[in-house]
Amino acid sequence: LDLLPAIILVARIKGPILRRIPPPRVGFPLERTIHRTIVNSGANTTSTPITIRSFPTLELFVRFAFSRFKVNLQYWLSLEHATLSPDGVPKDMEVFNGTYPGPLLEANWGDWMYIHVTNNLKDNG
Amino acid sequence: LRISLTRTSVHWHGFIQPHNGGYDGVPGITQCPIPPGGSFTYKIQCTRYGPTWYHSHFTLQYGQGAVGPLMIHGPTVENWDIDLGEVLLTDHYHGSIYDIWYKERSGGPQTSDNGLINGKNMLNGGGSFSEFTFTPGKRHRLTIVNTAVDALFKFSIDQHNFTVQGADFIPIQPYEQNVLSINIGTSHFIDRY
Repeated sequence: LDLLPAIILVARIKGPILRRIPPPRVGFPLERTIHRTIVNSGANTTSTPITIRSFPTLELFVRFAFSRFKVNLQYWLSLEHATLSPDGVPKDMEVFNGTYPGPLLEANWGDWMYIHVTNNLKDNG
Repeated sequence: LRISLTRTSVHWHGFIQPHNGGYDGVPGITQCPIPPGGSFTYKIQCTRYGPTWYHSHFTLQYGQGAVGPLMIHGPTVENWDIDLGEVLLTDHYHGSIYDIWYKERSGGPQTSDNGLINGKNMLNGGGSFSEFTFTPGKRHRLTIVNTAVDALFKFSIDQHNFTVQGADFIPIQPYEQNVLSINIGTSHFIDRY
């Protein structure tokens, strides 16, 4: 039984880090209704009640019960000068990792992200 | 007085950062800016889930291109088959954003030269379009984020409706729509068959 946390930890690390989490079951314990203004393509504007669903409490509890086996994701970002042409016209830009937009950062709900940001812009005083 | 524009800090848009405010990335409020050559490690927990974006929070640097997509996977309200990823909408200025700002201070809002989808668009035959491949019969998920400096976008897909599933990390009762108004900084889950 002492090995159980280690097994779960290994399973979480070995498993696909960015797996798709199945959607929660229908029927949330807490719901509340707000009014959201919806602007249609025409001039007519309507206000429609929308039910906001709160966190599914059981799933939240399970997540936090296991949160001591936390998943740490490491990402590296470098801010650089680059001359890019997003629409064919060159522009001196300041972008992350030389691309525009910057790289996609992904995580799962509950994960910790360690994002190392380095400023590689030139020092203009 | 010379003010360096090459310092930076990165803000993780939409994160509440409970008991973690020091990593919110707002220079002058939660941290000193990162100097040229320096580095800083942000430690953040994904306490909520959904699509969002990260951007430099130092002066107008994000208008110069210092933005990127950030996706926290979690339960979704409805099922989907294919994830087409994040769609970043932004306005685009050919000049330096700092020059635009000085013009704007005296001359009012400046007209952008173009609008970009995921950092791409065409102008006078140059450039290229962002392309998305849809498979018939499958349900696709798109996440729309407005990363503009000064623009509200109306997102639509020609001759198609879509279902809006969430807004700003909040799952909502899905509703069918053909045009989605989206303001700066907000993000939406949408999907369509």
